[in-house]
Amino acid sequence: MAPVFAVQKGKNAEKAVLFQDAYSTAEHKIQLTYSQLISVSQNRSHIQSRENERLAKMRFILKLIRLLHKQHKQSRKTDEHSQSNEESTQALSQNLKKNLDTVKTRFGDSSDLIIREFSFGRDKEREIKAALIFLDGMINLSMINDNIIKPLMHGSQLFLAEETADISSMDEIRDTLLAVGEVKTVYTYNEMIEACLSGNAVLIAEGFCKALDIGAKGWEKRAVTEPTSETAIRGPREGFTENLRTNTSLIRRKIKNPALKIRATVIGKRTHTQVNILYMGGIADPDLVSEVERRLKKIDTDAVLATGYLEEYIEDSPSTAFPTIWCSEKPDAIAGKLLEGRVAIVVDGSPFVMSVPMLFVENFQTAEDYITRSHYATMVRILRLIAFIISLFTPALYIALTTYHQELIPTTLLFTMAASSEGVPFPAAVEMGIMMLVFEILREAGIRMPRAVGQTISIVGALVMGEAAVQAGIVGAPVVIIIAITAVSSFAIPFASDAISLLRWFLLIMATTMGSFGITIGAFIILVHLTSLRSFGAHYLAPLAPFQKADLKDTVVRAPLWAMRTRPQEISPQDLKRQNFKIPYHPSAGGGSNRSEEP
Amino acid sequence: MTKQAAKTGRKTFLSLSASLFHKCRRRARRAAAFLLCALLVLCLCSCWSQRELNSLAIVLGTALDVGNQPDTLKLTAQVVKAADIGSGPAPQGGGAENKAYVNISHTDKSVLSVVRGVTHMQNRRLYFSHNEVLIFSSDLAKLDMAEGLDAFTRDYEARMNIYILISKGKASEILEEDVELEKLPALHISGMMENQKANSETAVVTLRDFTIATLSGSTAPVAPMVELYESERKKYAQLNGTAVFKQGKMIGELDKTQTRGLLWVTNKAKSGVMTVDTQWGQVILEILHSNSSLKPVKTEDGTIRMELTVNEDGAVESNETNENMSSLENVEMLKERMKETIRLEIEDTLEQARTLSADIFGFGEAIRRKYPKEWEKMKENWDMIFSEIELDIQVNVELHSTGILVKPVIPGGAK
Repeated sequence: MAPVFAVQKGKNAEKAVLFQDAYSTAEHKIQLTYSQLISVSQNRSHIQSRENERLAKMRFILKLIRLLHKQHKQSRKTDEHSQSNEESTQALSQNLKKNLDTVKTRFGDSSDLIIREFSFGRDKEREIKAALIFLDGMINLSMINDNIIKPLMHGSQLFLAEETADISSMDEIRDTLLAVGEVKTVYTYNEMIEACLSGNAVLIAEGFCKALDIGAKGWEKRAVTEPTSETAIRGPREGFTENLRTNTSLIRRKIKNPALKIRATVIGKRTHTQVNILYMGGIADPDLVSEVERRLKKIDTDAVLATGYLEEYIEDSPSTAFPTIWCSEKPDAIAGKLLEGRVAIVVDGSPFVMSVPMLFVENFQTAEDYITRSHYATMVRILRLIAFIISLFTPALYIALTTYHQELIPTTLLFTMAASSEGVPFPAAVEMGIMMLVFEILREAGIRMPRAVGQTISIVGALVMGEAAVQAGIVGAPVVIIIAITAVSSFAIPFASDAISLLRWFLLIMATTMGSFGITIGAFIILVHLTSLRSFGAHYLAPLAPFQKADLKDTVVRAPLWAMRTRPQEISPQDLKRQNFKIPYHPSAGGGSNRSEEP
Repeated sequence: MTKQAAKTGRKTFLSLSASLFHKCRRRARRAAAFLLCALLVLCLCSCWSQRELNSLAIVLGTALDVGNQPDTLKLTAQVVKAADIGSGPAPQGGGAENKAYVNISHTDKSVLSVVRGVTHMQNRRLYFSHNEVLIFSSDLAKLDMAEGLDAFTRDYEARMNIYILISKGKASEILEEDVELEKLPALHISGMMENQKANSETAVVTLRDFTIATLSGSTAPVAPMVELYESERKKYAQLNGTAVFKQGKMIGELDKTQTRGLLWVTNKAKSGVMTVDTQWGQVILEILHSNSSLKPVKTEDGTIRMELTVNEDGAVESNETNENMSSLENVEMLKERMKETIRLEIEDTLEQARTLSADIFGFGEAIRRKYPKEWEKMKENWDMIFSEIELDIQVNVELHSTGILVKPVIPGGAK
């Protein structure tokens, strides 16, 4: 450990020198420019020079302010750095009490900090005072009792029964006494505190300037249950939990292959959240992996509490309404993505695992598609696409038809529409806007409310929307129907429904101002936007634009699994070939030779 | 120390935000300008041509009559009362209160001035996109149809596939007929027109057909005629015959059989019923399929004659005699009778057309297409040539079935 710090320290020193250099050169430059300016201004005519001088002075002052500001920022950064380095390098002392005091002050007497002081050894004179530090609720208490304290207090007696034996170092305790799988020697306060925070117990003893980081993690965690956001009919039912290790193990159990690589980082200056990057070695593009790592490394935030926190930092285009990072609660779905060459990001504390890059078609795919028969899966995908179009365009189309293009409505339908618009006090667009607003509010209320109240909301909402509003003549019945169709369709799309509910408003405004012409323009804008989107370098609309014929097999149609010979091109996997094309068992193809050979 | 830290922190924050503002200002300004421009563009068109459904008077039928002042016309527009049509049963009895429509009439010098004139009386604008029928009174048709035709063809709102009808009495009264199954007379009439394929006794003419015929010069446009008949103190509209036009004016009529004669020639008689007389009584035959082709042929001496071939497939629809019509000789006999009937119908119509000296069949058009050079010479005195032109009629009839009965239904059964 020590040489690493030394190197870090050395780097800091280098930085400091460099910084000083930069400072002096900058100062020199400013002086130079100022003198130049003055000399230039002196050459000009009197009035002009005065004006110039004033301008130059102002510019100079501005420049100076900016430079100073920059320096200030830099110096603060280096200050922080050096401070934290100093602390992290602060080694443990041999004095137990001093060590304990430092830990206590660092934690500020948190009530969950437990320090168990005890002593062990052959007799009173040669006993060793020690302390076990851990955070209540983060550790496995029975492990602490049975595997740490018990061996130390009782086991040491047995060990020391032989006259020659003696406990002279921390390493000896580690090697001979502790009955724990994961033990590490640490030297500094920071390491010690980090160990406590991640749920380990730390053993320190009088007279040793080392501590033992003993892996005894054990906190309350949710069991692996069926995910609520994605339900499966035939697929596996297990879902991710909030625990990072559980999640990675769930994926590992799907892919029993050492090629599944897991890389760990810690993000969040204050939360120190564990983040793991998963990918398949030999399939995933190494450039993609390093790009994911680079983007994660660049994040400078103080808190990462869920996947959504990271998502916004690593997106290609943060301003888009469409999701460019896919996420799922299902280990089988994520395993599938990994095997296609994608990279998964697991964040501790979130039951959602992200996968990148994401393509537009993934909005319409579910893990279930690959389990049901391909014909049915294809039909369902087409349905979802239709639902997408319906939920995006219907309100706008209705407004365009009823306020601009009445001639396009079949005559008898026009009567019905006209009849229901009789006596409605608002223009059709306003009516539609009101109903869309009411629907969004109802949906939001339904999600946030406790389940018992939620039902009341839906009943009141359905009654108010469906019946009373129409009967009272506030809105027309067709508008309610349109809203209902839109709402139902938007729930049929697995992923992009929030983008749709935003764009629906955009299209509504376009339709209100310009009719079907406006819808055309709006659709065009959306399409252009989609084509320009990227997700970790991959074209969002691939394989449709750019057109990749080989990958159409898993776009709108879901080809039979045996026909999916290659992995998606846009993800640029190292190994494009997934399998050899082989028609499943057919008597004449000789695929069933094994069976026929059976006696 | 903490105080100082806080102080420096605040300072840093301030300077940081200042620099951020400085950096973003240009981009933000540019973005704001762009957004403003986009918004202004939207405002420029500002719901242009937008109209709410409840500000429209949806016109379903239009009737044109001669106005009571000289050189005026009276336009009657049938406007649907949407609120009344949406729900509830069809209006019972003649109660004017229950009607699902209102007929708005106005008299002025031109169609357009009438349409605009209606705004003096109504709070809604007449909306013609869903207009389905256009009825001219025969009085107006005999005077001049050009004005009405031009206005309805030129306007982008009115459609070209609306049906044209000529009323025997006042056109506005047709739109006031008592309707039973439909709620609106206009829909009743347009539905009736669509139903005419079943009998081939009415020339179904849309505004488009009529305009094309009018523009051709040689062809005489035709339009179906509609009249009112009274039954149990209620008035109903019915189709009867065809009006013949020449030079934009109505010059005569064809009756039902003559109309079918016309339809045989123009390849529009596709279905219907024909009654054939035999020595034992009447047999009713159904027209299953039919097609005809008309072509001009140049004879050796340089004159042009017309050749008409009619192929018709029929079936026995009903047998009023006691004879077995499925026997071979009887089938042959029926076929001959059928041929004769069709030929007679066509010749009767040709006779009437020659009396009116109106080329309702489009002989002139057919000649122009095939022999344009000869047509140039014939064009000038086409009326004279038409009255003398030779028409060869070739009728081929097939009798396909006698229905699901072989022998006639008579007491005791056939022998």
